[in-house]
Amino acid sequence: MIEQIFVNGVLASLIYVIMALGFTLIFGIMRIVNFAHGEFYMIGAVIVLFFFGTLGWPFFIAVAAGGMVSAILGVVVERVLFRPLVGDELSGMIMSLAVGIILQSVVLIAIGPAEQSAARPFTGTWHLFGAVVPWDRTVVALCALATLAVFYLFLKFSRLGLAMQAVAQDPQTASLMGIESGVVYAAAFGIAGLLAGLAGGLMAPIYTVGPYMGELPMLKAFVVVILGGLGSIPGAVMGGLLIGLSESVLTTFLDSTAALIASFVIVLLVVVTRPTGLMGKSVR
Amino acid sequence: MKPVHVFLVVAALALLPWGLQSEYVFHIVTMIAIMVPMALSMNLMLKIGQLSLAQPAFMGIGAYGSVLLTMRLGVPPVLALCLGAVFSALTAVIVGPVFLRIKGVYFVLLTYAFGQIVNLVFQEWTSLFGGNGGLYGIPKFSIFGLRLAAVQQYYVFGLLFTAFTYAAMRAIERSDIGALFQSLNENEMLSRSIGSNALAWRIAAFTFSAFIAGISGAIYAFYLGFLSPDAFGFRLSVDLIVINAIGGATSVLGPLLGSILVVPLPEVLRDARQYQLLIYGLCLMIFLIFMRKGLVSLIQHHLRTA
Amino acid sequence: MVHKNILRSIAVGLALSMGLIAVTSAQTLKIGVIAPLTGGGAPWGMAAAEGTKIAAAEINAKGGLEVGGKKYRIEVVPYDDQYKAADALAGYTRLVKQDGVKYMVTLTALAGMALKQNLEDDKVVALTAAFSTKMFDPNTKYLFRIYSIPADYLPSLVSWMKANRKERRIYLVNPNDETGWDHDQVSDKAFKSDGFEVLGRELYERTQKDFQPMFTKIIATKPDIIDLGSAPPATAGLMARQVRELGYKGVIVKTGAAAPKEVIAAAGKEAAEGMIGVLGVDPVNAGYQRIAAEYKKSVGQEPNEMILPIYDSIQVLVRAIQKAGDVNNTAKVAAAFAQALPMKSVQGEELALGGKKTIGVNQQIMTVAYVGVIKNGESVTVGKIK
Repeated sequence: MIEQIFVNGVLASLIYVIMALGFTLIFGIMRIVNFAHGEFYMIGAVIVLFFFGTLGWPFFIAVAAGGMVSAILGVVVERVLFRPLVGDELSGMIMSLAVGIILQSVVLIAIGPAEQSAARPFTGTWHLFGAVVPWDRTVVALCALATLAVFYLFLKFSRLGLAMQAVAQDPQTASLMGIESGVVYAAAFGIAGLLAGLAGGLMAPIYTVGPYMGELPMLKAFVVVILGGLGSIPGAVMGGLLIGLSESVLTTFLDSTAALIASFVIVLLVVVTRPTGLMGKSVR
Repeated sequence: MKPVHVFLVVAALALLPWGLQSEYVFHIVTMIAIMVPMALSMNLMLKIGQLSLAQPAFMGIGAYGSVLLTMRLGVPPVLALCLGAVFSALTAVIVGPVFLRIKGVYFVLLTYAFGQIVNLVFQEWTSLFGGNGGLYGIPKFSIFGLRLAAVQQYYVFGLLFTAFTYAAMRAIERSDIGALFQSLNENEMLSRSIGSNALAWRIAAFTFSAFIAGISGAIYAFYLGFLSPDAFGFRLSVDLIVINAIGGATSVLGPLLGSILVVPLPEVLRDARQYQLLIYGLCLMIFLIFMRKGLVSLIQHHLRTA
Repeated sequence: MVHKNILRSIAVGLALSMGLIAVTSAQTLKIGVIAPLTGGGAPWGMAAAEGTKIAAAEINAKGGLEVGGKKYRIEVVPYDDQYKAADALAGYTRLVKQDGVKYMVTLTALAGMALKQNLEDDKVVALTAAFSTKMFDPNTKYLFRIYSIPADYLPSLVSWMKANRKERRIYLVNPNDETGWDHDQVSDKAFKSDGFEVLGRELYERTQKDFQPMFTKIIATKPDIIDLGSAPPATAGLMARQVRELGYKGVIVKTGAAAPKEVIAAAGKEAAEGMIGVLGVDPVNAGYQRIAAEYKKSVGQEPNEMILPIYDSIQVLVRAIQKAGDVNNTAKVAAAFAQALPMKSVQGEELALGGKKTIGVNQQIMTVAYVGVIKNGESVTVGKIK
């Protein structure tokens, strides 16, 4: 049973990490807590539900489409709504709340409130040290790892990635060096949208798709990012693993509500004792 | 329009239900009367520059606390109502010193997590709180032998409390304490140099806001006759933010007007409920884009000096 | 040219006002519906609202409901309670005090429990789909349940399982809410008293979607039957799939109401294969299909099962009103249920008045349930229970 609990935990944590990455990116660079992050996830899933489930496009193309739609949405939303609010943490938070509510209701009106099941591209399971690993979740995990790797390389080696890090650390100096903060902000939201949309698209066939499906993943992303440190990528990975595993253990032996309470208590303790999280940079 | 005129209009509106003689209208205005103090309690925290998402949790503690005291221990409702609010205030006093050291967005996240924990406990501890199924059979409120059974009576009850809270907030705003709060919001160094203990005053504001929320919760519980955890969740915080944003957070009148506008909205949109959320979001967005003054500049001051 | 337009508008105006007069001169009988029309409970709520509307439309198409010599047009007034008790109260106040409604459907246990006392005090005849036994007490006169509940049919189902299958080690799984607790207790009793070994009883959160940790624990106790109880169909489908993926090879049964199409969609054909469920409808029944087609025409989706018992209950209600002979005397109408029943449901089965045994008072429309086994992506009816 221990191996199964471990496998369950790791599989869950990889998606949390992808969600946390986008969340922490926006905060690290723009100091905005994006309460609408879950809705970008949900839109990726809805796109897959429609293009893969109804229209029959190949699964990975549909997932990519989901990611692209969320990415574009992110860029648009940033440019029109969030750009004027940079640095104003509270307004940004409240604006993201508004965006989230609007996205939820638009999708609600479009597809109705019921949870729908997407077609499933992968079935079957394989075994790892006595634990059962479903293939569909394995695919998600592998894609998540690939995404993580690509994202890391992008951040470290591409011009835009380096520019983003610079703006995160010191926007004034960055602009003195000729980095257009506008481009960086748009990129941050766009990439965050892309990551959330991909995560949602990948996860669409695993559970069900509905207008409210983004709420729980956002909550998890929030917990992971606080634990790992707002603005830290390695923190997001570590936080994701810790939360995923602890949840798996607590849910198996108690129930999921107890696990959620525990997650929030962890948030409380972290913010009170060490607000920058396990690996976060110091708050400006 | 001078404030006095606005006040007269509000007073007239408050008396309107007796003119319309509709129980349905009375229900709506009673809910408004319960929501105004809640909006004021969030507003108090906004005045000192903090956005607290814990107000629904305090409301819930007051609600469940007073009801359980009456139902399980036979405490007279009046006393139970006060004790319920005291529980909320005590909770604030306990977590306040820890939470209020933290500023800005982290404080918001902290109160968010706290609110979620309290709500989840209401859901999880079913033997005490009834869980998701709810707590039913709450007896009617009675005060010195008078049993409140009709909605009109609860409306009066709610109105009285609203008036009290409004007056209290207004008094605070005008007094030295109000000036103190404003300085806490704008310039902590200044307030420190005056010699006031900034943290203690923050805790005081937090505690008072929790007390108000607790009484609102108790009135809500006795009026409705049943309780369920979903009434005290994040959605309520969103509603309170929308009310304060639309009504304007700079003056005490703001939350009052905001509640009058926002609380009846679900009823007005009864036939198009899916659009209700959409309208909420759009209103919030529009206010943030065009009228940030009310809510935001209040906070901005504080954050820039943090 | 202008004259022509003016003349045309006058003609249209006259026609409209005549139509309006004609419509308003017919008497109206209002039936309210308090149900979740948005949010999580919407599939059931919408089925309730539409089921009521379809029944009303059919009666209106025949010229209206004839009561005591007068014809009444039925008007359905829905109210979205968003599955919240406070909203249900607001809706009730509006429907009863503002719109003068005397008959309503209060779908959920949440709404029903909140309004129980008001209904009796205001003498409003209400139909509920809630499973909770707490909703009825010996003094209940105006609230009726529209179908038999697990407490009624479970013993019969357990006998069927005992007779038709050899598995005896069962694990019970239910959502952590009022319906789930009820169901958990009733099934525990029913299975234990017929010789089954109940290995454990699990309660999970309504919003949960990841059940692998829970099933990991359950599978370790080696059950050969897992009962998904009163899980909502999409969740049940997820659970079936996840438990199969973990390697569980035993029987999966759903002793709470099943909605096989949704379950199969969420579980996938393979995982759903062999699942035993209790259905309120026989999907191949002509009566049901007619109603489902109506729903699909106006809403564009397949209806939730709930539509059928709601439709039937409205037929029972209007029959009771006719037997009472008076649309305004709700006390008489409530008492007239005993005369309206037994009658035939749209599926051809018998509907009777009952409930004394399980809820202490005869305020329930007893219905027949079907045992269905999922074979190759479809539910095949293999038995009947009552």
